Amino acid sequence: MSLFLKTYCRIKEGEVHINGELFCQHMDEDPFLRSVYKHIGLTYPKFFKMDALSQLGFLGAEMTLMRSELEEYADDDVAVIFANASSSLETDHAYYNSLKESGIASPALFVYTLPNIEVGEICIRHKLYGENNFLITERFDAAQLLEQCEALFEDNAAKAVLIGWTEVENDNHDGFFAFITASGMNEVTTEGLTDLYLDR
Amino acid sequence: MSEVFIGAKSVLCPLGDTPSMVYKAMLNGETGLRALENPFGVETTSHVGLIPSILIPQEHIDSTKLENMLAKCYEHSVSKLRFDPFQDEDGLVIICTTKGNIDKIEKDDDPRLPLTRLSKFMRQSFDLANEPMIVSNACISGVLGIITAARLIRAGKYDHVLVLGGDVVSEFTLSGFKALHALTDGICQPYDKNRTGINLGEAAAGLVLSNDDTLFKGTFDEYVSGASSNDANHISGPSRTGEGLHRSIERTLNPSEIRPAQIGYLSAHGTGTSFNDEMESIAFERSGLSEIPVNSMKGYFGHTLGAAGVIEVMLGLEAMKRKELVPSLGFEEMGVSRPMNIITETIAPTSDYFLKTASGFGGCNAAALFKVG
Repeated sequence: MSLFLKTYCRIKEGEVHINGELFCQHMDEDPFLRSVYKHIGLTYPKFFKMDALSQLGFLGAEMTLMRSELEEYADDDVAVIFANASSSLETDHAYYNSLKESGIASPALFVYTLPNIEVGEICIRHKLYGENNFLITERFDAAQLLEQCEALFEDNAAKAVLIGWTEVENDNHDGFFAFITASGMNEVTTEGLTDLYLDR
Repeated sequence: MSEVFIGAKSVLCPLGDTPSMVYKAMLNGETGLRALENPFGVETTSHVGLIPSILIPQEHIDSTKLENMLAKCYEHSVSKLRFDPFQDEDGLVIICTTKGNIDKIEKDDDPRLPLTRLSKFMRQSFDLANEPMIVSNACISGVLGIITAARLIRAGKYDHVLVLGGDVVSEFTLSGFKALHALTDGICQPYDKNRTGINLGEAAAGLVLSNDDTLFKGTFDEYVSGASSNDANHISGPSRTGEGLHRSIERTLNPSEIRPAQIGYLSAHGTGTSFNDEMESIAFERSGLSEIPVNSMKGYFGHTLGAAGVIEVMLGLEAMKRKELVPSLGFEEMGVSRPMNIITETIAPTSDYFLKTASGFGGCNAAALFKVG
């Protein structure tokens, strides 16, 4: 079946591109993700409680969904399927190291030691009651993500899918987000989506 | 829509290493949960479900405990098939896990920590044609892996999918659930008035889904439908209205033309925490399932996290086949606000339809429906 691309967003090396065009650059004193948050002009206090992985996914979803005519879909017709290579490993280390150093386990850190928490944050923000999945692959795998979209559409389980790839290591961010639909104008293939990811 | 068959059960858990051995132990009312003094260095009186070490090949540098568990289930499941379809392009292995080799976290850069290590290990060990897919979606990972497998088959992407679930108990998970005040003293009591929390258990389990019923040497059942749904409410607490669980049940039943009253057995998540069990009772009432015989298996081997959905579907299918549903261990006095038909003594299912549900952190919920026999 054919799949269509509505919107995509790339967050990498201090820059945000939406549909291939530069949206903002890291310039001020703030950490990168915080400066993007400010640039969007959003007030969402929960953002500051999130770990870096959830912040990256949250921002990518925000910028992608606000250009995807989300209001045209029922609240459970939009699936959120994310993937990455290292799961929540950075927060896993933060949780475990703090336990070893202080002898006290932090519940606030422990909650973020699951990668799908970022999908939960996105669903809360946009009131999405649809399908979820979080897959782990060594590299960005456009074929696997589009295969998931197709399997959901064929099963009438969704009409659109927000797919996302989010990696965080130290202060390096690698985010790619796309809104994939079952009908539309801009047909997308595995090669096409891979090129958009590799483009930046 | 093409039919999807499910069978070739395998298991490794505190109660044994074959489906019939584990099922019989449950029928006898045995629990695999044990009291340990400071398990994994964590101060808790919560009992823990560990796999007897004689059942798992010795861990060594090339393969961890979890990897050995997954490998054993792979071998058991494949031995129940006429041939191994996973060395061909039309076969896929899905691994469902929340934390993988998290027991290796003491060393920051241990190469066994990334979850992708599990897919590499399985691919190398069994000469798999495709890189295994890893589903890591909290405590619904197992049920979601089964739903994903069925969808991939129906979409014509693969003919045969082995779904493996696996997680181990470690200092990491025990200390974390303790910090959340989610561990019970002693043994959990799902849906009971005196329930105070969960036990952690470890397990691996396997099920093969296929569009070809001649693949199975022995008996097999049918996957009917399934769905997941997010609560869109809270990352670490279930919705007070059971919204996501209710929706996942509705979206599972709607396309199947099976009405709630036709379901013969409901295997619920039933962790034993105050909030989860109460949420489930609300969602089940909203879904018209209050009368359906229901149990939680957590009292038998604990909450096995990413493995829970696979092992509980596997044992639910086993109980349906034998037409003897086991009691919800630990339940004595009704402790949720909405009516539930909790199984307190061995009974026969009321129909051939079996519904499995699960819920997890991140607000995720999933349901899957099977037809047995």
